[in-house]
Amino acid sequence: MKVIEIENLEKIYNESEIKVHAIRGIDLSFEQGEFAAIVGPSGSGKTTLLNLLGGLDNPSTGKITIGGVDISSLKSSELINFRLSNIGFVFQAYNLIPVLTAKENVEFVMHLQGKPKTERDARTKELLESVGLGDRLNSRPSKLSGGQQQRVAVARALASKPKFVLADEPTANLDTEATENLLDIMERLNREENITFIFATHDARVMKKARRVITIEDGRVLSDITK
Amino acid sequence: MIWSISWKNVWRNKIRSLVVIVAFTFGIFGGVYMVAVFVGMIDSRVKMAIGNEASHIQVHHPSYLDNNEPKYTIDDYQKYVSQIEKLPEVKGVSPRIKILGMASTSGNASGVMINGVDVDREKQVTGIAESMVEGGGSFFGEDGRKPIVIGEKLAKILKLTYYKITSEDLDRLSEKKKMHVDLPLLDSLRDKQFRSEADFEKALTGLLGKSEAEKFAFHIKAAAIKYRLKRRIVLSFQSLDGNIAYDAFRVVGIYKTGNSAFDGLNLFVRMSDIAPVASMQSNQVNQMAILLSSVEYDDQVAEQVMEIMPGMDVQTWDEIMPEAGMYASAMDFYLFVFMIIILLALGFGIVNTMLMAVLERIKELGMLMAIGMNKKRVFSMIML
Repeated sequence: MKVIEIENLEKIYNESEIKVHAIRGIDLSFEQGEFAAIVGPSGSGKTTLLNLLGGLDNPSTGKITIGGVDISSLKSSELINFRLSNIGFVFQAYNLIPVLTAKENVEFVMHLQGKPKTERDARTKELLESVGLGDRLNSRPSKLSGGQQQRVAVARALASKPKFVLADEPTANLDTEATENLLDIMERLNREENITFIFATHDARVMKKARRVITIEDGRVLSDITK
Repeated sequence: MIWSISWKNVWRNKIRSLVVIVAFTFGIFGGVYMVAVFVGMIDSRVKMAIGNEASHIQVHHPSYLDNNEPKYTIDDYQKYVSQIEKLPEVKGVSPRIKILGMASTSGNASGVMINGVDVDREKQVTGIAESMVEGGGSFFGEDGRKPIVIGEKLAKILKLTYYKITSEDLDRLSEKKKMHVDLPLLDSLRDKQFRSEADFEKALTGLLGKSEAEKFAFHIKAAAIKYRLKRRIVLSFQSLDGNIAYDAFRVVGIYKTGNSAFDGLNLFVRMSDIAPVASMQSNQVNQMAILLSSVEYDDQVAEQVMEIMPGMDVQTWDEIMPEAGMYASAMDFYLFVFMIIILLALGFGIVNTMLMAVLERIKELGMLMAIGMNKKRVFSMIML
C-alpha cells in the first residue's frame, strides 16, 4: 500500500536575487513499512525533499499525497494537525525540549493529541523501554549522551503512532557505537511495528542498513535502488 | 503541560528572570508608593482645607461674594438650617456672620475677617476647636464677656505673644530626642521675657551660635512662645446701617491650622455678641457652611440645598477654593502620566526580555511547530 506519492515535485527558492532550483521534477512513492534512505552530496536537495514531505515547506509546483491527502492543499492549521497525527520527526541536533525530562519529551506529543494520562504513561514507558532508556525516564536531555538523546527523539517521533518517520541526518552527531545502536532500534521498530522510516543522510552506515536507497543530485533522482 | 513548560522556561535563565521580576516588582511598588504618597498629600491638603476653611458647601446671598458686604444676608436662616440638617449626608451646618473689619490692640492693628458663629454648630463643621495651641486657651470654653478666638499668626501680628523659657519648657525640650543642644546654656534665658520673635532669636543666636540656633530655633521657639490671653482686642467694621461700629473682645483662645494665611486673617466671635454691634437681626447671617459625611456627596447635596434655598448662591468646595480643586485634578493627571511612564518603561523591558526569549529559542519553537504544536499553543507558552 502506498503511503506517500510524489508527483512532479519542484521547489525554487526566490529569497535572494538568484533563484535556487532545489528540487527539479521528482516523482517518487513510498510503501508502508519501507526503510529508505535519501542520499546525495551536500546541497543536492535531501533536506528540502524531506521538509516538503513533512509539510514543513510548500512545493513550488507538484503534489505530495500522504495517505490519500494532498498536503499542499492543506491550510497551515490543518497541516499542523496533519503532522501531529501522521508524521514523526527525528532531527540531526535531537531538538529535545531541554526543560523537560525524557519521559515528558515523549509524552508531550501525545499531550498535544489530547490522549488521556493513563494512555500517555503506558505508551511513553513502552517506547522508552523499546529504545533502551527504560531506566532514564526522569533524566533531562542535558544528563543524556548524544546517542541517548537521539533515542529519546526516536521515541518521541513514534509517540503519536505516525504513518511514517522522517529522519534528517539522525546519526550525524553520533559515534559508531551509538549509530549502530540507534539504527538497530529503528530497524527493529520498522520490522516489528511496520513503521515507515525515511532518512536523509550521507552516512554510509545508514545507507548500508537501508533496504531502499534513493540517490539525488542537483534536485533530481539519479538512482532508486531497492535491495 | 503548557503551564508546566512555561514555568520551567521562566527558570531556564534564572538571573534574567530574577532581574525582570525584581525590576517589575520595584517598578510597580515604586509607582504605587509614589501614587499613594501624592494621593495622601492631596487628600490631606483638601481635607484640611475643607475641615478648617471652606467646608464642603457654602451658601451666600448672591451679591455677598462680590464685595463681602455684610448687608447681603440670608434671612430666616434657622428655617433652612433645620431643613438642611435633615439631609442624611449632612454632618453639620454652621451659620456665620462674616464681616471684613479691623482688629486692634495696644500693640498693632490688622485687617481681619470677623466670623460670628454659633459655637456649638461651628464645632460640628470646622476643626478649629481641635486646633487650639498649647497654652492658648480654648475655643470659647470659658464663659466670659465677649470672648474672641484668633489665629496664632494674628496673635503675633497684634503683639499678643511673647517668648519666655520656663523650667517646664526646659524639661520638655530635654525629653525631645533630636534636641542635641546644650540645654544648660539655655538656663541663662530661663524666665526672661522677650516681646518679639526677633529679639528671642537674637538672644538664642548669641547663646548657641548661628548654626546651632538655626538648627534648633524652631523647637525652642515652639516651647517658649506664650500667649497673652484675656487681652482686649477692639474690632471695628462697617455695620449694616452704614456706620462704623466698634466693640471690644477678650482673647480666650489661640488656634493654629496648617494655613498661616487663614490664621492671620480669620477670627471667631459669638454670633450673639457681634450681631447687635453690626445692626443685624437675630435671624440674619451672611454664610452657611455645610459639612458632609463624605466629599463624594458634594454635588448631590448642593443641588438639594439649591432646592431648599432658591435664589441663594450655593458653592461646592472646589468652587470656593478653585486652587485646591485644580491642585487635586492636576495632581490626578500628573499621577496618571507618571504611572503610564512607569508602565511603558516596564512594558518595554518585558517586551525586550520576551523578544530575547523568543529569538534565542527560535529553533526550538520551530521544532515544536514541526511536531504538531499550533501557533496558539506556542503563543500561550511564551506569554505564560
